[in-house]
Amino acid sequence: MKGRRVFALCMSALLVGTMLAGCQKDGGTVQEEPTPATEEGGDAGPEPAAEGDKPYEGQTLQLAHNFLDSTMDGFQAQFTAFEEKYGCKVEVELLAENADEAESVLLTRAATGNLPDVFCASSGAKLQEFAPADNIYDISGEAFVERLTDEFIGIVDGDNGEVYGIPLRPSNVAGVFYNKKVYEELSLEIPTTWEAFLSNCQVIKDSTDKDPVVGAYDGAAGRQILFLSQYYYVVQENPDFAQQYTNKEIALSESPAYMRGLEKLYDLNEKGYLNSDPLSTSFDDSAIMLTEGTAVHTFSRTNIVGTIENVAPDKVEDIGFFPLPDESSQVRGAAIWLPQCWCISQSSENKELALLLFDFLVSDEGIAAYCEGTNPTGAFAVKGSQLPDNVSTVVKDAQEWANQASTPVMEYYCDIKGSNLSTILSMVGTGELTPEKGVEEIEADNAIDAQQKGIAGW
Amino acid sequence: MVRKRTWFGRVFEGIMLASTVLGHWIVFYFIFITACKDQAEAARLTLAWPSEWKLWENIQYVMTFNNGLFVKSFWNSLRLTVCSIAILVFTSAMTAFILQRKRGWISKISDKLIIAGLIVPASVIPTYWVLSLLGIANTLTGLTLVEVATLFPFAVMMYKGFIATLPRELDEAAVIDGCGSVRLFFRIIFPLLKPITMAVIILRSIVVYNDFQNPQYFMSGSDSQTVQLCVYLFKSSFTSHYGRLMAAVIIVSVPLLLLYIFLNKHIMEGMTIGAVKG
Amino acid sequence: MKGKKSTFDKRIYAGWLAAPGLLIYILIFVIPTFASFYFSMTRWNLKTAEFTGLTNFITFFTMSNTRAALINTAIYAFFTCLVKVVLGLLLAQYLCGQVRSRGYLKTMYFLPTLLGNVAVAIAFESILSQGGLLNQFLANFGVEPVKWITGSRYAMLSCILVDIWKGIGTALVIYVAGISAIPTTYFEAAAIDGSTPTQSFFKITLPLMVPTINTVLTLSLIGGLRTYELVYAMTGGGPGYSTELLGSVIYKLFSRGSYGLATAGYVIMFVIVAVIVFPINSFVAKREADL
Repeated sequence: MKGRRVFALCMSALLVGTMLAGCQKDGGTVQEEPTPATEEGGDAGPEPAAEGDKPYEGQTLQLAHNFLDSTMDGFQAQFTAFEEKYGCKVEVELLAENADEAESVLLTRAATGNLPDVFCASSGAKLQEFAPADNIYDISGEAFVERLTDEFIGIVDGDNGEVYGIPLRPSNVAGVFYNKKVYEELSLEIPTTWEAFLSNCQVIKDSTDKDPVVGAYDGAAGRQILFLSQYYYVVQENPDFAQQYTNKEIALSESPAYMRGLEKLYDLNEKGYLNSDPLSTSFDDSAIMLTEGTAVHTFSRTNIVGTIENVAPDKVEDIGFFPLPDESSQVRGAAIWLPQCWCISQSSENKELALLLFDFLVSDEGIAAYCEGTNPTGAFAVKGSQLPDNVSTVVKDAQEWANQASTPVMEYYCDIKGSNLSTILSMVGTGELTPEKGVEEIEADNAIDAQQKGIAGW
Repeated sequence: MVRKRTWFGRVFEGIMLASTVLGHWIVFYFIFITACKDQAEAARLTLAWPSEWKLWENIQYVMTFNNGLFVKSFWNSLRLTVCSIAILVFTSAMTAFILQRKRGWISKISDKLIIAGLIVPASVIPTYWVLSLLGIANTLTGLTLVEVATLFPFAVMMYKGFIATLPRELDEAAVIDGCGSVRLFFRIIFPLLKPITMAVIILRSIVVYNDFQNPQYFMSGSDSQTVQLCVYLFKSSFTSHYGRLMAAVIIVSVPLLLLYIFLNKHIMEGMTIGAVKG
Repeated sequence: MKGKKSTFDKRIYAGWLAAPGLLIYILIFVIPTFASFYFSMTRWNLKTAEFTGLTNFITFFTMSNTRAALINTAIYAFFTCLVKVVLGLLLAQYLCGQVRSRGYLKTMYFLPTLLGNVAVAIAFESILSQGGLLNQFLANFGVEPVKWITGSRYAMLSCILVDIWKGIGTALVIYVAGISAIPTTYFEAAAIDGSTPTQSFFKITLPLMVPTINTVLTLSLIGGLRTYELVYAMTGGGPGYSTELLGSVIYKLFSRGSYGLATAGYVIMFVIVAVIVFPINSFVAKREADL
């Protein structure tokens, strides 16, 4: 009987304890919330300087990202090297692979003051969603910022010269990846127009049992790449497209170049060039099919090379790259995804260590560590950094296109993107919606997003 | 009631048995045998025997992925389950006891609120907002309280139904013997509630352990990743490596299957009580 | 006498024992539920909420995936519920009879309820994929590969069947408990009077099982209207919007940061569930009063 009483008491104590803990923390947040600005006053973090030659022994840096492809191996190599050098620990939290989901998780955490010390964020227009002035620590005064390219700083800066992040991985070049061996067998030419591309597909369809194109429509990214890469041609047609659209001065359907993106997506299915079940084909599957030669083309980004290096390292040289073709063989170019960025949370108590990590990540040592973990898929946005020699030809080719004729995709300049874009594109890509219907759906879906974000004019 | 087993009865039973082979055993076997294969073989999605047994490699990969993320999330799921069930049992039993015994306007309003809670879904985002005001958003503590609140109505109803069958004379006798109300509850009433408590513990543990929606919304905290989220992460990470994926499926399901083997009788009883009283 | 009784009650039943539970419940469930009515009418980023009236509701109903989701949710809830209620009862009736392997059968039907939604989704996604096990099996009979979950024609059906596979065990066990609670003397008396098993089922089992049927009905209906995890994990709402459910629309809005709009979606779900389930469920309250 006595034991039971003690037990009961313990349980009650536990309950009360839980309640109190809740209340105490409640008080803490209430105090913190109205004065987020005071914390950023000091430059370094409040950590006391420790003694000894491993000054950061025992400290832990919380870091969150959502890169589950080969990029993760690069990160891991970097963090391990960093941990060894300074004796601290980098604790990695993996967020949902879907970029939107991961970002929303971070956004809710930003809204409630729960960001990890370091986190990944989209650079460009989307960075604004984080309300960087309130949530992200300004690194503009740091020496390592000098090493970043101006183009990159242009997409992570604030209105008053603040800099909010460092590049987290190399940029990605988007276009068509194809199996060179099949091209040789069928003696096909690299197509310079969409017409030529389609006739290549027709040849493949007629003379082999291979799928001309594999669509990796299982994931949200795979559905969008072809369509988003079309932005290169949209910009050729109207350089102010993103700005005008954000101000609601133009409609998407008015741009022929924009519509051609949807039409291309629609063509692939309509003409029967797509693999049989694209909606269950994952990014990895598409890489495997491409290397095996069961499919000849795929619309992807250079990070597919990282996956190919994992699944079929001996076949990397069989893969080639050309940019998404359009109407004219004279105007060709690639779309690129600039690196997302690492940001330091303003509420972090480990700013000193986080800055040290940043310094390391953009140093030659840090970049070398990345390249050891995985082969880079494009250029680092760090001045003077070179792609290592052992990078595959396909990545070099793609990077060549990026240097000569490329534009970052629209997301960097326009933050309006409805929650159903990937679904709508998958419907166009499987023939359920015509391009005309598709653009209507996109416009309606985007309008809701713009209204929810309170963008002026919508 | 005792009837001769007819010819028809036997054939029908045979059909039922065959249906479990098709509907269950093949599914379980498929999961297992796929988990034993390497990437290329697993991708064929057949029932064929693997040419090389990779089960151990696949399990090892899953367990060591991202510095033992899976092991960490197991620990989190365990803590989440144990804490929320412990809090749930005591709070709901105490509440049910008072609400059943003490009829006043507070009890009446509480009853209404609790019955409503059985039916309507929880509003997730405002809950997140409340948790953040309390400073426990993204923490295991916050998630624990959410689980408690979600399961609270059902548990209270079960306890209330049972407490109603305990005679009030019991309370009165205890009080005459000098028990205060705390002692009355913990020494007399609570031990009598054991069948319900067992049912709540077992059934709700399954629910909390398997919960995906609440962690999906409320997770986001490096130490509050639960094992279900972890499997979901694998789903998007090993998209073409079915061997590893199925190994993860097996690992995440094993604890409850073990629980079932050892507590089969209790689970069935719990289901029965839960169903009839609910 | 009554006054004396209530002071006695006051003394022996300390009200604060109910406080911890009620506190958690009110704080984490009741307050957010009421708050959601306000936030559903705002543009909200968790920090500031700008009142926008009924705009969110209008927007919600004009979204093309919402219309699909409302219809899909109705279909999903109706069929999963129907099959669990009817097939569950028939199975239970069968397993309560003279069946040698009933323990085994009960275990098999119950086992899937122990699995998590994500695990089930992963398993069935590969079984039902185009090159998956089911199509391999059907190919033996010369059936062309069917897009079970990636074609809009069968996707919903597949999801419903998987949900039933996973959930029927619960209904079954509840029914078995209900049937076992019926005194066997009823059946013996009926048998002596010469009634057939079928007659016994309709004359004795069915009427006495009404409360149990109601329980199963309510539970599966609520579940069917609210759930989305299994389907979301399996299809992500696709292909197109063909398996989009109310819950997954709300989740997708949440994940794009449209918190006000997502909360409006929640309020709509709240109303739908309440309007459908409360009338059916009012008997629970009645029974509670009887106790």
